[in-house]
Amino acid sequence: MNTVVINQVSKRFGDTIAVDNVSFHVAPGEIFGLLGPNGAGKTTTIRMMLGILQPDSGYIEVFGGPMTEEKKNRVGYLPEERGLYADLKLMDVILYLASLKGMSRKTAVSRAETYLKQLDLWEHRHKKLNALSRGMHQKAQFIVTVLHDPDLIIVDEPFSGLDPVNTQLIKNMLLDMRTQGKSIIMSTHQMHQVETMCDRIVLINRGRVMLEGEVKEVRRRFAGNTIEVSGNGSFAHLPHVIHAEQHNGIWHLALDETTTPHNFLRELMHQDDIEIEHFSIALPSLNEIFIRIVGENTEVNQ
Amino acid sequence: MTKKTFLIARHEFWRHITRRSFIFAVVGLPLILVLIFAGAIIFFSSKEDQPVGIVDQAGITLPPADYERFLESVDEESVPWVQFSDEDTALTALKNGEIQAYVVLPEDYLTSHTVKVYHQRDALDSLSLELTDYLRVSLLTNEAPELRESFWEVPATEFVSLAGEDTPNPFSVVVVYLTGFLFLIAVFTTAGFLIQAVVDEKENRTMEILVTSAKPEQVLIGKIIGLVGLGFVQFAIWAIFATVGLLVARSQIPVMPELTITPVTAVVIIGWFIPFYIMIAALMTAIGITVTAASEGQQAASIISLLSMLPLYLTFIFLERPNSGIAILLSLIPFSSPLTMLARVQVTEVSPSFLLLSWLILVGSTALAVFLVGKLFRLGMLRYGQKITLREIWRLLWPFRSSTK
Repeated sequence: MNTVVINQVSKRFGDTIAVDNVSFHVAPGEIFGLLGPNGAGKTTTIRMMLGILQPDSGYIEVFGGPMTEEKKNRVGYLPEERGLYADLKLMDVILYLASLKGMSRKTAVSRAETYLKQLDLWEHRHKKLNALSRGMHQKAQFIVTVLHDPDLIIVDEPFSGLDPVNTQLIKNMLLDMRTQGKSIIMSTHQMHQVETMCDRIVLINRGRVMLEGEVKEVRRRFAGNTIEVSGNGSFAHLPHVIHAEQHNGIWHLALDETTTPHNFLRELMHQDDIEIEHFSIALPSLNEIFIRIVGENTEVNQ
Repeated sequence: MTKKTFLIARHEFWRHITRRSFIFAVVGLPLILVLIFAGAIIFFSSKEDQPVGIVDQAGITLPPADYERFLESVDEESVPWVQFSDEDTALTALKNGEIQAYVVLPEDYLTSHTVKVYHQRDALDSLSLELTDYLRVSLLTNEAPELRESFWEVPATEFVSLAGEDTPNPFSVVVVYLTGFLFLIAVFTTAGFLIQAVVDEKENRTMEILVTSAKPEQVLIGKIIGLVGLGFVQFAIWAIFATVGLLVARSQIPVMPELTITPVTAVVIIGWFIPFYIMIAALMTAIGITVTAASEGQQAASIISLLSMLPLYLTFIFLERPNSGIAILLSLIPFSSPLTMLARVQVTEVSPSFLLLSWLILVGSTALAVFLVGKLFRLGMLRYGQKITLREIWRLLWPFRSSTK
């Protein structure tokens, strides 16, 4: 059973269509990337998922049905804009928000200790939040999100404000949670993180789904007539090559429309002065795909 | 009340009760009053301990030692008296600070009944009364002891009101009215916290976390209950201070009248002030949710508090003409009805039907305020850095519109 099913959901605020006929699903044990430019409708979609807003049409199922108060206890949400009581002590805030998720104080204290130590915040547990750095604040917010061991974790820009060490720490924790069978929905603009962490993605722009699928498959779908090749020989002046660049010993060759990578490879095999060590179709990065789709969409609308 | 509502209420209660500003508001005010009274008592008692000289040219006063013995026999106290044979000696003692003042009784006192008091700084305010007691006891020294003692005694007076047993004395009216006023102060102090709390949670996005853990209604009701509880604690602490103050005052002032509260007054205190508090808390939440900074909400909050305090400025009208047009009008306006009704029911008989009408308007307004804030809360809880316009509020209240999602 899918953890989240969003089916043909639309939401309008006045004259603005925030979400337009969006559909996707999230399965247990996967990290799902919810991508899109600012104002695309991601937050509205998340809020509808959480039951804060109701869709105008379509339906949303979480854990097999509509969101209920009991189900809220199985969801952890890290909003993009960070918000915790600045004038309260870290431990008090964690325990209060854990109590609202239905945790007993004893369990909450025990799990909080584990997480605070893991994220190097144990020494700061009696400090007021306004005395903590931005990165510490972010880690505290992450603890609040996952302390109650939710089955569905929704994280919006989880690495914001974190240094590389702490980014890796949170990343590993999220990957561990995926292994434990949790469903994780991650919204971020850090496309390299999406590439390394997400199993599947959906890209929303202006409220509509522009792209959905497995990360590898999506990249393959957007792969053009560009190949990556390394070895000995002069690759830049071969027939059909219209553009050539070399990075770290690997040639990136853009081919003209009269050939395909497959045919090009066959021709290459017959060249005596060329020795091939590596040949692959160049996959575009998610960043490039993002820019291409969102950029095209913006141009069309303009 | 659901468990989450209770958890939110408890959190709000403890979060604010430990605030320095709350502690100062609750304990500071009575403490300042106590300090003022204590200072006054110390100031006056120091004067009472300092002796007063007497130059008796008429030769009528008892020796101070005899006077003190008499006072002891009737269990009374007086300022210490010191007799001087002439004015020069008394003047020297005054200049040396041995006495606070001296009284000169002229030879013809028994016919002139005039004395002169010489002092440097302010003399004891009650010196005339002290002197009167001294002279009376001295002049009656040769009379029967019973006469001298009964002359001293204040008669135990029983007041029998012919206007009916339930009519309270003016003292009770003032005390009850002041109680209502104190309650209003407690209401508006804590309601101010509510605006701040709501604005903070909205603007720092804590609200987003809260509403993913509990229903918006649970968050809202939890906040209101927590803050109302806080207000009652504030009021209760003040009431304890006031009761202790009254008891102390009663022990010091034997002629202080009894404090009587009629059943109608009790009904008004409970029946009017509780819904009033809930209404104010709801409105303050509504203000908090519509603005982006607490300071922006102060203007609207001030108008509400001004309207609620209006009866205080018109107290004398209510007490003298409790059935005047303005008194009746303010009894019906939900903001001013608690204090107005509190004043009126103590000095006049308000018909049960009018009481019911005033109460229904107040309770109805409270229900409307809670309904309004419920809708506003859903609309504004996740709107950061953006005010809700009056137009939006109007559209929200328009009965034919579907509820905001």
